[in-house]
Amino acid sequence: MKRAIPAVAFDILARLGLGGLFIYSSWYKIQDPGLFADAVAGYAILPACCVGLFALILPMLELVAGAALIVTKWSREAALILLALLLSFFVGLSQAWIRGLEISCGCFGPDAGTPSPLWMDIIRVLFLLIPVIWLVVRPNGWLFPRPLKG
Amino acid sequence: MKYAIKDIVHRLPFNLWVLAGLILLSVVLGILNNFRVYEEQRVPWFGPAAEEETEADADLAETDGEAN
Repeated sequence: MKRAIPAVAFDILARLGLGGLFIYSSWYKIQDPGLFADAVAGYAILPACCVGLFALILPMLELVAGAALIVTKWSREAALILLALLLSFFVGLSQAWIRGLEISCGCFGPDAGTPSPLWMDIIRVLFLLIPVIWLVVRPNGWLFPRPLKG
Repeated sequence: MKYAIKDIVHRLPFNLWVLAGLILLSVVLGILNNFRVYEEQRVPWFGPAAEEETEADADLAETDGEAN
């Protein structure tokens, strides 16, 4: 069965874009888990006992899911993890915005100078949900499907 | 019961084992990462780093107060 070219092109773009973005965003959190733990504590949503473990595991989930999206054929499973992460980001950011917490997102590293407003981060998360949901409903496969021989 | 669980797993639109593998890999790597980084970058296994710092600061302030 032939796959439609625009759909395949969007698959490739979404996988490379999301994979790269999540690998990039995980990098500073992996380099300095303590700094990221401070950012997580700022959201005041998790009980104190869970902040440390959360700050250790979340960046690795981003890295593993981002890499899996690019280099493995299990795009649907990787996208499902990213969907769960984005939904948790949405909940965390929304509650911080509603409560009027003056924190920075902490998504791509500690903000130098004035942090971006939280509503902008919420819009970014909602925008990222589009390609993630697309990949969740698409079938699994390698990033660059090989042409059939013969 | 055993067959019912198998049936549910087969009907899922994704591979549950791959999903579990990816999550488990992240947990293991995350825990190992805390051993890799420098001591000042580590986080306590249970509890926020910020709270530890605050307690340490409070202890330090108390000691300073006693010294004065």
